[in-house]
Formats: sequence, C-alpha cells, structure tokens
Amino acid sequence: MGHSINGVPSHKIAKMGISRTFQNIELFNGLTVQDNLMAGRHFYMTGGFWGSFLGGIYFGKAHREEIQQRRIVEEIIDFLEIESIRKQIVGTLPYGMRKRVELGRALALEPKLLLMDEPMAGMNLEEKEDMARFVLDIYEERVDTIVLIEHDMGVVMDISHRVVVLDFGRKIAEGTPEQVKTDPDVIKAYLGNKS
Amino acid sequence: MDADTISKLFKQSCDRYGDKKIALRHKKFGIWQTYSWKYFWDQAKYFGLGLVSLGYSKGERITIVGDNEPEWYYAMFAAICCGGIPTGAYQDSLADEIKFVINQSGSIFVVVEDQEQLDKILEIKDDIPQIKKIIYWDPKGLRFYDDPLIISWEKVLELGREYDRSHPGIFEKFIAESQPEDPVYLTYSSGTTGIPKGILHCSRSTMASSAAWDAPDPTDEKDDFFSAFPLAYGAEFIYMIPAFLRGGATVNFPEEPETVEQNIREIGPSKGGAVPRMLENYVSFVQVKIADSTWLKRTIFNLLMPIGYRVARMKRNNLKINIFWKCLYGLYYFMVARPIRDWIGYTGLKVLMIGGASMAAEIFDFFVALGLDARMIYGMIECAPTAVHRAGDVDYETSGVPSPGCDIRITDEGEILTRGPMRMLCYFNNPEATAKLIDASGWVHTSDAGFITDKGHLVCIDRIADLLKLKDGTGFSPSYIENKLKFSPYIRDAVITGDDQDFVGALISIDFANVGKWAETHRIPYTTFVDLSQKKETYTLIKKDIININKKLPERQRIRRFAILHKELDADDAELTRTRKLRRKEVVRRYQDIIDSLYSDKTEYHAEARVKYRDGKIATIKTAIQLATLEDN
Repeated sequence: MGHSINGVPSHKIAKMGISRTFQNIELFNGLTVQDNLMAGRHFYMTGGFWGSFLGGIYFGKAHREEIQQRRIVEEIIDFLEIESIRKQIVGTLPYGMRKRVELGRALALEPKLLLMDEPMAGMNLEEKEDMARFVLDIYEERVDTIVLIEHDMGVVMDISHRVVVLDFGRKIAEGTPEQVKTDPDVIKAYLGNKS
Repeated sequence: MDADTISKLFKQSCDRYGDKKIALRHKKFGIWQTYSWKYFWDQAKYFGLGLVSLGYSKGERITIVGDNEPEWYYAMFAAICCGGIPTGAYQDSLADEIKFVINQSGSIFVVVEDQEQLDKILEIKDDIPQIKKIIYWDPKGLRFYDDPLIISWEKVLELGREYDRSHPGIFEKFIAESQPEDPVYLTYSSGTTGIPKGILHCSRSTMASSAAWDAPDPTDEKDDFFSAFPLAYGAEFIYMIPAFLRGGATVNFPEEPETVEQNIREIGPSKGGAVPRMLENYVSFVQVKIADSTWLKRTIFNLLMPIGYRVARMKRNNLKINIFWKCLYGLYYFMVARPIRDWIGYTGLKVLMIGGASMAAEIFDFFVALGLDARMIYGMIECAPTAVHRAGDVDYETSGVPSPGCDIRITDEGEILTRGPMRMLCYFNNPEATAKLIDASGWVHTSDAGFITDKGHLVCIDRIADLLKLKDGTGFSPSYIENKLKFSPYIRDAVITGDDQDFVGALISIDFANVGKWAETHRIPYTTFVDLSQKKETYTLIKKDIININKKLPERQRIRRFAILHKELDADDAELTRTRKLRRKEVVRRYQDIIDSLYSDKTEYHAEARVKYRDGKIATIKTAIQLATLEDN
C-alpha cells in the first residue's frame, strides 16, 4: 500500500503519475496554448540535448518525436475544446480559458492521479458547468482518481463520489455526499450552532 | 446515361474518382484531414445498410442533429441512397424544438453528434416512441451511458458490413431504383410566421435548383466549397450538394463552430453563397476594425476605399476604365481590397451569390467594391432560385431576371407568383399549407409583394403581411428601413413600427460588442447590456446614425421616435428564427407596451421583462427605457 511522498522533489512526484492544477494560474504567459501543453509533455521527450540539438535542423528522431507529442497535445486540445485558441498567447486569454489550458497541461503529463486546487474559483455559472463536465469526462476517459479542493458546495455535492470536509485544517467528516450533508459537525461548521 | 437522381449522381462521382480524389476535408487535431470519394462511398454505404439492418426502409425519415461535420454528409447520403429522407434539426435548438422535427417528420432514427445533443434527445425520449435507435458519432463522455436505444456510429457501420455480406449488391440496387420524383430531403422553414413547415424536395427539384445557382460559374473538380450554414437549413442542400456531386468538387468542414472564421481563411473557398446577415456582420467587423486601427492604416483606408466604389460604379455602368483609374485601382486592390478579402476568407471566391433575405444596397456596394462578382438571388427554399442576376446585368436594387426554366408573374394585388422545375414536392404531411402555397396550375404563391422593372428585373419589396401603412395612407416596407439601419455597426437588430400611426418609429437592439468597444474608447463606464443600452451617450450615437439614414428615406418614412431595447433579440426567446430572421409578430406582441409609449408623449417607459437564460432559468429585469425623439430633419 503506497508510500509517502513527503519531501520528494516535484519532478519525481510528477513521474509517479501525479499532476496538478493551481488555484492561481501558473502558466507560461508568453507562450501559445500549444506550447504550454507541449511543456507538459517534456517527460516523454527522450531525444535529449543532442537529439534536440540536431532536431534544430529537424531530422530523424527529434522530428518523429515532435510529431508524436504534437498528436497527443492535439488530442487534449480536442478533448478540452480549445481549438479556436490553439495558437493564441496564453497571457491574452480570458480567465476561464486559461484555467482550461492549465487543466490541459496537467493532462499532458498523462497522470493517474490529478489534483485540482479550486478549479471553479472565480468562474461564472456557465464556465463552472463546462468545467464540471470536463472533470467528469476526464474521470471517465483519462485518469484513475481526481482529488478536488473546492468551496462551491453545489459542485462538490454533484460530482464527487467521496467528500472529505476540513475545518481550519482539521478533518471533521468523510463519506458520500449524502452522508456528509447530514453530518452534524459539518452543519455546525458551515452554518454555526443552533443557539 | 446521365444521372437523374441525387443517389445516382453520388454513385457516378464515387465511381469516377474512387480514392484518387478528395471529396471531403475536415480539420481535426489541427490538420486538414482528407477523405476520398471511395471513403465517402463506404461510409454512406455501410451506414445506410446498417440502418436497413436495424429496420430502415424506403421512404422513411431520419433526423440528424449536429455541427457541420463529414458524418452529417455520410448519414444524409446513407439515408438518401436507401430511398429514405434525411432531415435535420438545428444544433442549438432546445429539446422541444428537436422533438417537433422528429415527430412532424415521423423519423425512426435520430443521428446525433455528441453528448450535448444526445442528452437533449434522452430528455424527450418518452415523447418520441417511434424512434428505433439513437446513433452518435462522437463518443466523448458517453462511456457509461447504457440506454438500449443508444448505439455508436462504428457499431452501425459494422452491422452494415455484415448486412452487405448477406445481401451483396443491395445498396447498388437501391440506387438504381431511385426516381427523379422520389423525395430526398426534408427541411423545415424557419418559422418567421408561425410553426415551421416541412419542405419536401425531390431529386428533380434540387438538381434544377442547383443548376440555376451554379449557372454563372459551373462547379468543376478544382472547386472548394465550405460548409458553414447549419445543415438543417435547406440552402446548402439545394444549392451546393448537387453541384458538388456533379462537378466532383471538395467540401470543407470547419474544426469547430468557433473556428469557422480561421478555417475559412485557410481554405479560401472558390464557391459559396452568403446570407445578408453574414455580410452585414463582415461590414460591421471591417468598420470597427478600421476605426480601431492605427492612424496610418485608417488614412489609407479612407483615402483608397472611394476608388473601389468609383471603379465598381464604372464597371456597373459599362464605362471604359482608363489607364489612370486602372493604376489607382491596382493600388487600392493591393493595399485595401485584397487584405480585407483575405480576412473574411474571400480571396478565392469567383462569384458571390447572396440570397435568403433582402439586403441594403450599401452592403452590396461594399462587396462589389472589393472586386467580387456579387449577385442577388431571390427565392424561397420551397422554390429557389426564382430570380438571379446574370453577368453584366447586375442591378443592386433588384433580384435579377427569372432563372432558367422559371416563370414569374405578378398578380393584380402585387404578389409574386413563380413556377419552375425547382419547386418542391409539397409540405410534408400538411396538404392545407401545400394547397395554400401551390395553386391548381402550379404557381407558387410567395406571399411577397413585388414588381418587374422595365428591364425585366424582379424587385421584391417585402412580405405582403409585413407591409405597413401610416394613418395618412403612406405605405412602407419595414424591412427596407431595418436593413438600412443594420448597416450601422452599432445596430444589430431593428424593428420598424408605425402601422396606423402618425409617423414611423423604431425599436433598436444595439450590437453589444461594437457599442461596448466604442464606449471603452470614449471612456464611458458601463456595467451590463441593460446599462449600456440606456446610456445617454449610446442614444446620441444611435441617433446620429438614424439621422444619416433618414436623409436617404422619403420624408414620410423617416424615423421620428425610437427606443433602444434593454436586451438582445434572441432565438431562445422566439424573437428570431434559428437563422436569425426577425419574427415580427412575436416581437411586436412582446414589446407592444414600448411601442405604444413611442406613440405617446412619454419620454421614459418602465419595463419589466422576463428573460430566459441559457440554462433555462427565468428572471425578471426591471429597467427604465428611454424614448428618444428626432427633431425635424
């Protein structure tokens, strides 16, 4: 049964099949959407320095590798429906779109476990609905487990299988959405005491 | 023997080109993927036979709901070749609207693109009991759907291959049996005047229609089409498809609806039609971009654009263009026209056919000035095109001369009647409506008012039912004035009123993007659409445009009072059709109170409007709508 990843450097964590999105978007703002996703693929590029150097003149292995990686990136673009912004510089995109690009980059790592830090923060209703749908689709098709930190109770209750409730860093409840909803500690933490 | 049906035509081209030529092109994963005629044939054949093995037979209907993608074509041709009738529902339709199409057409299969459409169909599942299967072609997100009604595209193809093995040659037999008068396509009228009617076309009518469209510049193997109109709308079928099949051209499909503009630029289609709405948007787009541009670019545009107009006018009047103007025109074309054409994807276009609604002369002029061979066509989907412009005989005030094989007559009441081989079979399951449209001697009653000029050109004024009369008896066409208004980049929609009143009034719906941009550059703060629409500055802006337009109108038809609506007109509120045509009766009924206030001495109207949001919620907006008066001008 598993092992602790405390203290393990993040590139090694990523190699274990864990990737994440950030609450404050952490993308390369000066790069295009496509390049940001390609950056997410860099573990899978085996050409190395000399291979890539020769790739500068675009031969053999580096060429093939680029095509192969681009194909996977394009599949993610298709999956997240961001075709229309593929070539745009990330810094010029609206917030909701950048969130989606960041999700795309996390997926580019082909993780088994995806961590999402408040994916719905600052989104309007329509964007939230889109994002919720993507989370479900990702679970169905791309990753084994998604861990999501979120304040929006509607979203949490609608799409989760299991909910853990934290109150000031202390776990106060765990279970299915139905169980958690009726837990007295949770009600107390969210609505205050009846008095 | 020449192919006399759509399915024979399809087979003829597939046989001729096989895998040597590209039939369809679809952008996917960022690359234009190509599909040969052989592939096209196989998909249609096995999908069709798959349907047959599931219980499909001659004369039955299928409903297709999805974006413009090759699968739409495969499913459509599969149904046609098996002797059936495909129809479509708009992809942005609400579930109820799709239910109407499925039930009115009596479809037994529904073919949908993806989860979004499938969810809508499942929502109405209990109301469409005759449906045998729902077929989807994009499996994303559908892994855990286990309704027995649902089946994947691939599975149907597999069934088709099996069926072909046990019944060899049957698909070819179906095609050989097809007759010119067999129905091949069902499309629903946009419903500007009520419940949509199913327009049933046969091979004879669509092929005649397409031949007339195609006559100015016959389609050949080098031609590229671009499929961007919703496929549920009949125009693409009766114009493009037979020409595409006969000429062996290529049809290109956009990657996503959001990428149409980028994709159309990449292809630069050589053939294409346009609806006025689209061209109006292009003109607004160019105007706003120029206004937004650098000083240098703006100056070049303003300096050179008149040359384009001037030369276009000389060409129209068949004047000789001397070397001086030719040089200037060359400069203009290089600096202005070519880049604009490139932006809107019109670099390769030879003839621009415009139809579907009336359009302001200003818009037409603009495209002619860009060096495009623009022509108007007139006709309703039931019988189109009735009139077209011939080369060298283009007059933007008219819709051209009767198209080949078509007769036009004007009744004593001024209604346009037409008769020709492009006429549809009938309205589907609606004999009363058919009898109302087509009389005993075969004339189609268009319900449009019009006349024929000295040169034999047809002029369509407006729908007869829409013509209005002021109290003093002055008759006028509201859509004529509305089209002029819509030339302004800041006006998205307009509704002209004045029936049995003292003067002409207008309800304006602003173009949020363009007015918003204008407000930003002029440092006018605003929060929402409602807020922006009722700003004093916005009223001044719109007023200026209306004053300009009034100058071009006869005195009695000038707009005297107007109000800016606090919301955009929307198809979801039944104010527009899915093709963005105005549903006048509905709009007038909804805003009757505002219209009444226009004709009183009030300066403000307190509105309380119910709006329906995209997610189906209903809310009430309370706001004060300003009523503006234009001084005599």
